[in-house]
Amino acid sequence: MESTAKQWIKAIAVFLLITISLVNLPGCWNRVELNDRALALGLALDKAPGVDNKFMMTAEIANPSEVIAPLTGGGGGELPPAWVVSSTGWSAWEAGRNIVMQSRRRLFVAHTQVFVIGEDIAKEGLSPLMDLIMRNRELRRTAWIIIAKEATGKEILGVQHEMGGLTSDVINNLVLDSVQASAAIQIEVADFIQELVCDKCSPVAGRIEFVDPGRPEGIIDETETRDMKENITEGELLRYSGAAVFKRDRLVGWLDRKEARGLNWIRDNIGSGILVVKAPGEPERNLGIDVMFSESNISIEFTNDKPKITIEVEVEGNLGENMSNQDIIDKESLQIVEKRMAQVVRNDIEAVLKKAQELETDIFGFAMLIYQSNYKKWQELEEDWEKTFSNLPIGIVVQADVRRIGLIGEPVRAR
Amino acid sequence: MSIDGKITLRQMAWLIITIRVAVVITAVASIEARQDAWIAEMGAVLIKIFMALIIVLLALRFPSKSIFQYPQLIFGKLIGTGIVLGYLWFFLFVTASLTRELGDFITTVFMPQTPIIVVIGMFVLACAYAVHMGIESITRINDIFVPILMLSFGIFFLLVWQDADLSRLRPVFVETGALQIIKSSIVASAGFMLVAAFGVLLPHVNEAKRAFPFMLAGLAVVGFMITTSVITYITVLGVDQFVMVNFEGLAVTRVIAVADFFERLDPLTMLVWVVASFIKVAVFYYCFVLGIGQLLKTEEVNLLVVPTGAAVIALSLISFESFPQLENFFLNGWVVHNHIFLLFIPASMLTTAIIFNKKEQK
Repeated sequence: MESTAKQWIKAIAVFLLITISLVNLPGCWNRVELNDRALALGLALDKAPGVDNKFMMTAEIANPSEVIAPLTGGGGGELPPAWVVSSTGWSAWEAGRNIVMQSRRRLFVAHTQVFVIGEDIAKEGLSPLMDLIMRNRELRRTAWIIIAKEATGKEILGVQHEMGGLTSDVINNLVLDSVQASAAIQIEVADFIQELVCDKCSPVAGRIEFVDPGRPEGIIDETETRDMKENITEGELLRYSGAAVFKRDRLVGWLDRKEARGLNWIRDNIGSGILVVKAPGEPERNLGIDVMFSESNISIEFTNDKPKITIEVEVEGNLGENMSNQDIIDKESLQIVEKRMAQVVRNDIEAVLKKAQELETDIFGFAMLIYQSNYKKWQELEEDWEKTFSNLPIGIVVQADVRRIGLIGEPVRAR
Repeated sequence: MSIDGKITLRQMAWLIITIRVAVVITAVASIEARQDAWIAEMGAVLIKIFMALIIVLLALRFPSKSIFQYPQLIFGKLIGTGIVLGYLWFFLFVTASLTRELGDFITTVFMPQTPIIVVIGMFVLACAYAVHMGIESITRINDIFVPILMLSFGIFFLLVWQDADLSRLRPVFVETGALQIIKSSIVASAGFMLVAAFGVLLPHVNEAKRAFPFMLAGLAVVGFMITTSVITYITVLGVDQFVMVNFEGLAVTRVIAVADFFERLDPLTMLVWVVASFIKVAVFYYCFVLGIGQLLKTEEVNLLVVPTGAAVIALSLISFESFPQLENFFLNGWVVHNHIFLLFIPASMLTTAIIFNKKEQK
């Protein structure tokens, strides 16, 4: 009799335990099913048009069934793969939350791949917006940060890429593949914020702009100004190149492709790239050197309490093409090519140094270097660093080598 | 609840490891020292060794008595009881505030809409069960956890190392100055609350005479782990972000992205923290319940487990209004509060015991 009572108690206890576990374990309080989420893949931040101090957030919301359908061969294609929606608010996060008024689902931003930021708002300072990214538990700091040149972030995200697919995904791939040319920089939000909150650094961010498909890509002069709004048509292309330069948190200028490559030489972020040099003996013909390896080293020395920076770059490349009629196998012409190659690198670096010194913004981390290597000297320099930086003597030493010449020795030439 | 479980020396050393691991993910106490925080953490290890030495010497004088019993032998009934009550408060409050810290972490990062009382309630329930099973069970769970924790840490450091830039540690030693480093060491050493728990647990340890070398070993391992992780935090985040973020370990974990698919390892931090906090809270909870039993000279302490749990939940909810208050307290008020119980009272007890030659009567 007693044992049955005990068994009953045991049975009830087990039952209660299972019930309580079932209530608690299957999911947390704020479980949201995937189809109740507005999955944002890209976010854009702009000033709200027409109103001061108001923000506009644009999200590219993926339509999962349409993204997956083409792969499985199902009946996709009826709806666009993504939907771009904007909303305004008095703070960036309010603007983001207000999207719910149009999308019927709450924005879920954990899968955001890119942050596109309009030029206007970037000029006014980004630290108020970056706080949201650091504070929010969903936003990933591994997303790319990109500034839209002569455009708003909304316009960039709204572009329908010719290859189809999600714009954010396209931009993500543009950024990832930019290492092939090294004429753009890749900056994750985490790195950007790190340089932003550090009082001795100035951040840089990626740059994206429209490209007119009616004109060959290479002809467009970097300095040429165009009214972009006029040119936006269906099938407009995006181009990810160059860089946006900041002073503290304000956008102050742009680096073109050459300067961005210069920055990559200094920051040691070169993936690959083609160095075009004049052929020895035939100045009207070019050689293309494919960069295979590069390493940089920045050193600092003080003479009479004045800092002097030396940038040493070591670069190795393969001959990718020889458009001239003369081979470069002999030692002499090889040396000429290597010398010219070094000159190209030096030109890149000089260009970016000149731009940065004009803008008085230390995007290379020279101040950090002095601070880290010689704290006493840094204390003397700290007050007037911007001035010192803009007049800083900088030496450039480039060691360039051509290692391999490809499958043929002599160039292809008509006889 | 069994009040006379036995633990081995190795288990004791492993307890040190688990319990300090939780700290590594939460706020680093020495952030005031900026990029010299890792030096401060190394300095803190020396202070911790000193603290451990005091407790071991006390335990050697009173081999079968705990920190709830020998104050009365040293200072007499009245003052002794006062000190014991102080320690009871200490254990209860530590249990409550650690619980609250875990609850705040979970609700801030992973489940913002879950009421904190649910998180805390379930956590304390699990701890109460562990306490009910006694110290032997707690240390055995710990034996399972330590390898898992060490493995997680190993993976974590391997993955994060590619983002580290050692030059961010410079300039060493000059910016904040030696005084700040010493100050931060003292702040960091206030986190070694386990030393008071050892005052309770040492009578349960086999061969307590050899306890000190094992503590040294545990502290060495932990000191190494904390120093490495602080170095990792600074070198990965940069010193400005290191000072800025609330949960350093989490912030670093979020940076991990290996080969495009091995990323979003945040739940790993939750695993480490919850597991380590579980052991930590269970140990302090156990000490509190045992302490009441020893003060009241009763062996029927099992009855107290559940009410204590209720008290812990209530205290953890009412002690702090908000997370900033908790964080503030951990960085400021905590130091004085803890060092009274961890350093000042043990040291004065030891001095008095030596001067008046008080020893446990055989």
